[in-house]
Amino acid sequence: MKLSPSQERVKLFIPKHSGSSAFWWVLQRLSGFFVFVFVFLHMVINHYLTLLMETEDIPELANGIASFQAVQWKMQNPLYFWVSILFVVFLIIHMLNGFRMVVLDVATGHSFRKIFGILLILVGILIVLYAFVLNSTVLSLG
Amino acid sequence: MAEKEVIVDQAQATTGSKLSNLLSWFNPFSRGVGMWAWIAQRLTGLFLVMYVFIHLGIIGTMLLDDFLGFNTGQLYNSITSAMSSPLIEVTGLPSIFEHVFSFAFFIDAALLAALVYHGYNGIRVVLFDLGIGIRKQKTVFWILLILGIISYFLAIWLILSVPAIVLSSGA
Repeated sequence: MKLSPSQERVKLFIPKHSGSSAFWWVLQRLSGFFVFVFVFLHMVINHYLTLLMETEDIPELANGIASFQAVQWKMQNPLYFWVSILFVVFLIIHMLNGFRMVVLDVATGHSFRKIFGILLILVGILIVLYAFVLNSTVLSLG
Repeated sequence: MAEKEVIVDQAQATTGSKLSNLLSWFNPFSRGVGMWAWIAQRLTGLFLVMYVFIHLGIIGTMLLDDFLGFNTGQLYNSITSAMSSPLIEVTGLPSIFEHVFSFAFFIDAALLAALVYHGYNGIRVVLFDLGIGIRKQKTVFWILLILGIISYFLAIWLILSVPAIVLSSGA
């Protein structure tokens, strides 16, 4: 079957094998890119904020930028709230899929692959729920 | 059978004895740059997985105050404050090095090293997957490593130069 030019371009990003392994390969690359972006944002907002703005007049930051009061103050902003959840989502996808790849380098049993994959998906969902509960609780205490 | 033995003898003659093959496994120079980059990518990945779980556990202490009878945020502030306290007292250092001997700085320095390596090597892997730079893979590795080292020291310098990065001792 002859592919169109746009299909040929897309094909460049997909490894030779197809099916579910190609899906996980693409997902690992995409989530890696988003983790890269979110790690940068995370570092700037949580560690280098004082370089970007005057923070002396903000009472919530009096105990330092990593204190509980500072986290509450940042969590008031819906953008911070949802960006941190999105960060966890992409991080967990990249992390657990990477862990799966490392384990499957040595474990090749078909049923093991299947059970291990399902287990990791469940762990991922639990961690994202945990992050949501954590953010919501910190916000509700503010 | 005899033919098979001859083939085995020839193979051992060209690749060395079993003992030398075993010893070469422990020789760091017996593997190329690409293999070491792959091993380091796996190891830094596993380190980062462990770090994320520990990090999530520590920030999860924000949820425990009510259960344990502390004031809101008290437990979390105590843990982060303890982590940012100096492990040893060193006097006479410039103020920029005030936090260097804290547990938090050691963790941050190790985290950044793993993060920078994993990130830059990840870019290298994606480039190779797309067929870019495979023939010059060693050069690509060294260029990205140098960029990574520059990024690492820039980030460390930023950590040391931001006074409010960690909790003040009075938290």
